[in-house]
Amino acid sequence: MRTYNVVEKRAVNQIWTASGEYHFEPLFLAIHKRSGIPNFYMNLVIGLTYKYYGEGVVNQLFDRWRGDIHQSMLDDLTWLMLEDIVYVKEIVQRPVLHELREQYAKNFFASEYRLSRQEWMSKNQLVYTMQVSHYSRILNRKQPVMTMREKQLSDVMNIQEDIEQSMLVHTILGIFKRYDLFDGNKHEKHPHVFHLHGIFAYIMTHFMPTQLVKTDRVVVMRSSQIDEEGEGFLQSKNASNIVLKQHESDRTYIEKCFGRSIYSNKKLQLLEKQICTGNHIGCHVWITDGVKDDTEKITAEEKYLRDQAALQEKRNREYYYKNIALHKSMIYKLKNEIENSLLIHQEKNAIVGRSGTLDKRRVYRAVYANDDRIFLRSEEETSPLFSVDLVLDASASRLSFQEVIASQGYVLSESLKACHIPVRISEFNSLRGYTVLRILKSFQEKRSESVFQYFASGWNRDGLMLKEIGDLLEEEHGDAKEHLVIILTDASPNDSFRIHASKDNPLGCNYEDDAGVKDAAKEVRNLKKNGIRVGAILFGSHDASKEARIIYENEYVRMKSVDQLANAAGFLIRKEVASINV
Amino acid sequence: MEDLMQFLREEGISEDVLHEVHEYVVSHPVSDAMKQRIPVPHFMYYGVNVWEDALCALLCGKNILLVGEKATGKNVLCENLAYVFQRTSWDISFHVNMDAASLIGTDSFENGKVVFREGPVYRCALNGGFGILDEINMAKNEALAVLHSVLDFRRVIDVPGYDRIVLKDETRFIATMNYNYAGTRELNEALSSRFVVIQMPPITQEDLQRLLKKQFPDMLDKYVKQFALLFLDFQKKCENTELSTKALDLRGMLDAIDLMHKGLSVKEALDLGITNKTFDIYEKQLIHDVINARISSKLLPSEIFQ
Repeated sequence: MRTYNVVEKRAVNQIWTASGEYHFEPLFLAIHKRSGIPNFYMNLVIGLTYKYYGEGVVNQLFDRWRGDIHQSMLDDLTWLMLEDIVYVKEIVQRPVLHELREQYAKNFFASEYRLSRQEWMSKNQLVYTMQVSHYSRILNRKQPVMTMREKQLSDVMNIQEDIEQSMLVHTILGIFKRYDLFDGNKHEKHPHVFHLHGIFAYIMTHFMPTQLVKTDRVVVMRSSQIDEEGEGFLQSKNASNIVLKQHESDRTYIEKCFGRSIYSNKKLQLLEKQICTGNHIGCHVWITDGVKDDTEKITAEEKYLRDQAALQEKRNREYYYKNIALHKSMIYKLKNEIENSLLIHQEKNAIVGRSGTLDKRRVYRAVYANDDRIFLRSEEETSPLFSVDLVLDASASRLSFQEVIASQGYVLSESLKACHIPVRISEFNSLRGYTVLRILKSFQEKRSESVFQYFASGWNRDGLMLKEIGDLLEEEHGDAKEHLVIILTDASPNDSFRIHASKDNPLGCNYEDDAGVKDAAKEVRNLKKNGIRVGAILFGSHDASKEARIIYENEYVRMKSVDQLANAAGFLIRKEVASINV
Repeated sequence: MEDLMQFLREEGISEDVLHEVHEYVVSHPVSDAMKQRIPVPHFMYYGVNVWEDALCALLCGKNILLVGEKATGKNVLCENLAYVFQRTSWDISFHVNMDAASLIGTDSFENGKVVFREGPVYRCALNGGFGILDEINMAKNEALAVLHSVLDFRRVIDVPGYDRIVLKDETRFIATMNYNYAGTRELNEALSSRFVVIQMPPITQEDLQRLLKKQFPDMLDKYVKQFALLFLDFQKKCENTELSTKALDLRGMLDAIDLMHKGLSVKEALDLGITNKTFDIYEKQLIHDVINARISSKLLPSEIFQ
């Protein structure tokens, strides 16, 4: 399931409204290019197409020329025909369509005057002529001047009959074939691929953009760059490949990248002695609140990283405010849902008053002491029922979703704050053997703005992170009796630092797959043994459900897209609230 | 009452059942003083199967639990049932702080003496009325334990320190609950086993059209259909959690049409009746989109009615 911004979400809702079905992802969304608002009428047309022809036929139709060099033209012409077809089918059911259609046609001609020269030039002449002809017909206007072929095509495209589901693809392909627009075979433009070796590869990777997988270096990248290029992340090596000085220690590097540790050196050593055992021998931990020492001199690379982190924070914030209506709506709903769940468990304190339930033990006071405070009234318990720790996986696999994750974290934080539930939001990742837990928002912080500092980089050693969380909760638990730890995860622990050889594992192994899953599962059980509730929001493929079940048993919820993070967390919180026995 | 009996006859409820209802009414008269407690329904409940289930269950002396989503007509049916059986009714809205005292009664202090102040369940039992336990699953199960002896075969209320009273024969309890509401909890087995449970289906397009036509006989058929479809569009959106249930308000829609009848513009009337019930700007946009996909913004109220 894809992630929608506020405009897209509204557009997809318009499509679902018209289709009456909500279980498909439309191939097309109609959004005005200039104003950036949904194109209401065309979204209805898209929805009605799904209503009458179903997802399978729509996909089958547009798949026929997906990737063809004329795809855009064929898409546009097809939608002109579909508009006619579904209009005829729906008009009896939905008379308002007539008015909306006319208005849409009028807007088409009105918009012609607002087009720039570039926009005119970018238009496909045939599509434009067909559009003018189509909308002129709707408005009973004079037809434009057309060649004989165009006129014939326009007449054929004006489908006024009821086309059956099984005939749609055949009919449209038939028209395209007859007028030599598409012969049924895709004509794709293939990218040129060069395989370079040796010195050529070395030179080119230094001058051209390259794609990286997880590394042990912090690189802050924008989500949209990944969106454009698919998996992994792009960076210009030329710009950011600053060679690390060999003498710089890993620890200094971690500190410079993520901020100083909230623990003293001594405490940190003690903690490592306690928790970096078993599968984590040789690993280090780093728990930070992100505060950096500004007095220290920093290198060019560190400055670059800090600038990039600041830039990502800006992007996260911009994304949130760009879709503020949707996010506020989510906060409002989530707050209400959690508040309602809490109501049931709210403990009441009985206090003496002049109204309420009669307290028989105090009745004598009314008679003998003239004290009319003989009733008990209830006062809501003000101390929170539980605290929430939201721990966000910030490994490189999250690079594509940084803005969305940060916004969802903010939404959850604000919703819980409105319900007076203490919430701490942290991110975790692992680099060079260090498992870093960075607290973005502490229990004490009133504002949630710091959640926007989220950025993804490195690996994820879930088991060690869970141990760190256990320690952190001992230090600070948000003044609540119960604790709920919610982890955003792909249930795929994975670290570059190997598990050392031991008696049980004489050869040692990589921290991944089965070994990683078993280790994380063990640590989840340990937390639960200490009375901490642990739930997970699974973000990944269906296949990961198996691993999630091993690690979190039934305490996980799978989300289809990352914009459901706050809702999924809300679901886990409500589930936990229901199980809390006050 | 005859009008409702006639309506049920037209709906296709069996004559035998209606005859038994009539017998029940005749054999359990209500005193003049209590007659004002018999509710007069504003709307009819549409749905033959549910009607038959409910009538039969009540005639057999059972208490019923109506389970359904918002706007499935639970309260309308409660009101209709009390009216058709000509019973006084006590509406008890449940909430999280509900306790035994607020159901059965509580001690009060009057003229220097501790006296028992009767609660609605107690009064219902004494008067042989219908007790409507609205949103029963909003209350904590512990608070509801007091109802066990009232609802099962014992049919008694035993208040410590006071008399033990036996429910009048004709006393019935009708509970409602919405399973999916946030803030609601599951009824425990002990309580739910004391009811027969009727699942309330969502209202159908046909029944919705009949309801609209009944309320607004001069409304043109094509608009009756469009408003019914509009409501169903909201229903689908809520089912799929794209909208909160605030917009799914049948009373609100009827109020809006009533306002149009008085001459208020269509858009404003729908805003007052439906859209403004949510304070969320994004949700308002979605509601407007659903309305615009059915009802023209240029439509005049005078065009809707004959």
